[in-house]
Amino acid sequence: MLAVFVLLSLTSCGDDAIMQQAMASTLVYCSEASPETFNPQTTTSGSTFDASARPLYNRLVEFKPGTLEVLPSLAKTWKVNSKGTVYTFELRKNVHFHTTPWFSPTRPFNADDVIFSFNRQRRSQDPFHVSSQQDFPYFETQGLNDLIVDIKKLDNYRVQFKLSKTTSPFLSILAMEFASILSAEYAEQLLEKNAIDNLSSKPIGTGPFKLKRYQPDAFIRYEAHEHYWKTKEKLKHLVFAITPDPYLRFARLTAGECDVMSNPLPVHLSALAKEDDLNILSTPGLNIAYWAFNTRKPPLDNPLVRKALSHAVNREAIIKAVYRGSAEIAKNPIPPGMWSYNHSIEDHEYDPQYARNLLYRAGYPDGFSLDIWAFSEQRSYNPNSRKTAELIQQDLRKIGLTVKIVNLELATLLKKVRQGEHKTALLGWVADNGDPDNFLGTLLSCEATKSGQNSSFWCNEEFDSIIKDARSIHSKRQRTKLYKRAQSIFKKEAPWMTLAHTRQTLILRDRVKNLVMSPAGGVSFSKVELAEAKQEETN
Amino acid sequence: MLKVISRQILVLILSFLGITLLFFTLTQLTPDDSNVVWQGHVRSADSALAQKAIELGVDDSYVYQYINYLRNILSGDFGLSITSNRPVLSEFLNFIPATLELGFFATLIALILGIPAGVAAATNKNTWVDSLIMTVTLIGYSIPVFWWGMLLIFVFSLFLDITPVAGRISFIFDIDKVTGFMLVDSLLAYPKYQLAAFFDALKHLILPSIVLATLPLAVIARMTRSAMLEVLASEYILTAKAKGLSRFRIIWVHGLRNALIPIITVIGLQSSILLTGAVLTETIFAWPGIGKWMVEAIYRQDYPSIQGGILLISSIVILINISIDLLYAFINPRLRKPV
Repeated sequence: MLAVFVLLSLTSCGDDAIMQQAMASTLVYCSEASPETFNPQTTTSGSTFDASARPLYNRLVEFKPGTLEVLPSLAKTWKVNSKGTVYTFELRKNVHFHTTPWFSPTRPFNADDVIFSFNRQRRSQDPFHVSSQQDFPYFETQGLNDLIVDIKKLDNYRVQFKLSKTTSPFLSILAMEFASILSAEYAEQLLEKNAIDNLSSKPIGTGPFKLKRYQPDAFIRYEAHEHYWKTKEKLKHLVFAITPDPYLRFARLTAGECDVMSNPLPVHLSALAKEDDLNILSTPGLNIAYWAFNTRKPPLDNPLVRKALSHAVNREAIIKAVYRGSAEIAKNPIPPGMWSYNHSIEDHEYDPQYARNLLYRAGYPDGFSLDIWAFSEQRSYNPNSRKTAELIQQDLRKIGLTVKIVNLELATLLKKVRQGEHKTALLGWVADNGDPDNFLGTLLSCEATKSGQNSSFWCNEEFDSIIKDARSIHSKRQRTKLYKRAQSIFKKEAPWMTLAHTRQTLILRDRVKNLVMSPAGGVSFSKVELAEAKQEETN
Repeated sequence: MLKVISRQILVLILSFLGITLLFFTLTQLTPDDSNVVWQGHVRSADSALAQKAIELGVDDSYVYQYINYLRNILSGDFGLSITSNRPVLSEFLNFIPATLELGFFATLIALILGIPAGVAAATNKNTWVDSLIMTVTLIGYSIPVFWWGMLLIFVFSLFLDITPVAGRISFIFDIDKVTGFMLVDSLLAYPKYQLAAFFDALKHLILPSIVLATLPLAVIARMTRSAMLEVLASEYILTAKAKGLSRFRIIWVHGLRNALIPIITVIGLQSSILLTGAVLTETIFAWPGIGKWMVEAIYRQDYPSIQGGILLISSIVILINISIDLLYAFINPRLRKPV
């Protein structure tokens, strides 16, 4: 057997040059799952977006890499009418779709492609909607069916969207993956051939990479798009090595079989100290875990009490024990990666003595009893809600409170919370887009107390009017100002104890340069470069 | 001989009817509505479901449905995979070459190492050689495949860094799929990569074939030992010894040749062990063969793939065993005349 190994290593020596050359132009990403489809319109899964929307397609507007700022993409510029209900987009010219063995475009991208991509999801009588036999889940949950009244082609390079009401996050919504632009010409060809399903298996887009080969549960191979409208990619080949088992993924990474690994386990991060050619890339995810106080139930109607609870909990210990360091302490209701995040807010420090003082001032020198609702499942924003509750219970005991933990299934918990049956509950939220309204408006406005989505049932007039104002104006500077003020009101009133923002983490090899993670989730390899290899010792 | 062949064909038909009936009945017994099982999930439109039900003949009688099912299978229609939306048969043909390649190398290792080991143990009966071989094969026989695979990856791939961790070939190579057999396809890519891709593919085969070969190797070694012992004790070996034939000739020509007959039967039986072992081995080494395909199909509750896949795998096992029986009859003239 040893002889076989020796023989193999000898014979392969001469091919080193070829190996090195192939290696220098190929980035291998060990991903966690096979994509469900290559059409981002019909899915909500993050792994699928990584494999479809980001490498293969562009959108009218896109998030600036590593941030949630909306930048022009396929739309060069846009105008909005004064009421904020009509958007006119000026489209970019000379944008080419992929040329592949299954499709050769005869024309560049134009308004027809935009209309096709949206109407397919919007109009149930659209032939492409009917033939898809699929749902368009994100389009529906964003409420775009009601929001978009009409999409008109003004000329080949101008498109107009009419909305039913002012919605300032509209551009952020258009930057989401499901709003990717597909080729209308390709779809028409497929419809003729009665092969519309190919839209999901043989994709055509305008993005930085095109699909070369896909073997389910094994790998996806992409090639740089040679006529990409932005600067051409430095990376010639991109491979997704589909490896659902996290241990195997890590083994592949350490053995040098892949350059980037998704979703490492906490144990892997601690094992990394021994490997000096691997780096951790980590960004705060767009999420929040929080402990909601039902402000309709005394003594939680008293802001002093709510503040006392916030000061009494050692959140650092929770981050260590429950999140194992893969999260950071939250001080605001929106994550720090989001624009308008108020950095100047002072957090409620862990200080049991001060918490006691606050309780004393609030008129509860002898404490009171409380229950915490926790859920049994694992969620991205909280890997172990029960353990979180137990740690909180211990901390509160120190300031003289008796705490009962109620464990529920998440679905049941949410249903009861919406009806306001809880005193306090551990909850969380993951962003749909980069707009602060998606957190502040959806979770804390007075209107959201009706549906119970506002789980504190906290309705503060000042806060609420700020949120309403911010929604109806377009100037980002003004909106930022308003949201910052809203956050300071939130902190003063403390309807939640803000607990944690979990991190999104990748491990990557030294040679991978310029990889940035989007705070909205997901990985994009556009603009990534591979450093000239110091590969002599590998093999 | 004709009689033997016709008997085997009869066995083939009966076993095939047996398994199809079994699978068909199991499907009927699934607690879900069977048309849901066929389709995998209920889509919003009930009319589509009703349409499918008519196509599948769900409302017809049990016997009629079974005949319908048989007719579909015989015409190669195993339904559509729910996840990929492609015919199950073409999915199967897509994945089988990887498994055959792996299985071939595993069998090769099991034979090349197993038979000499068994012979060595038999000829050195009750010495330390014998006990060593028997102990090692006992360990090989009882070692959990999962643990064994991980151990090999840890030692050879991560610690010594001489074999790849998983997969069929490094991702840096872009190999066109022609035959589906990676060794062949990587050679066909010679103009692009010369032999680099081929050797890389060969390296990827080492650990998984060792892991897959372990159990059959142990079985073959032990079987060879006992068959050899029996043959070596027989009178014609004694005669050969008396005639003064060399030890080499006695063991390898007269002894092994006669001992091979029971061994071949055992090798035939290993085909089912190899195919079940492939499920675990392929999962550990991310080897894109039918074993891994089946596991994924189960995770995704892709019923058409599971049903079609298992039926096809069982058919292969039956076919292999029947061909082994025929081969056996060919080698051993005594068996040509049925008693």
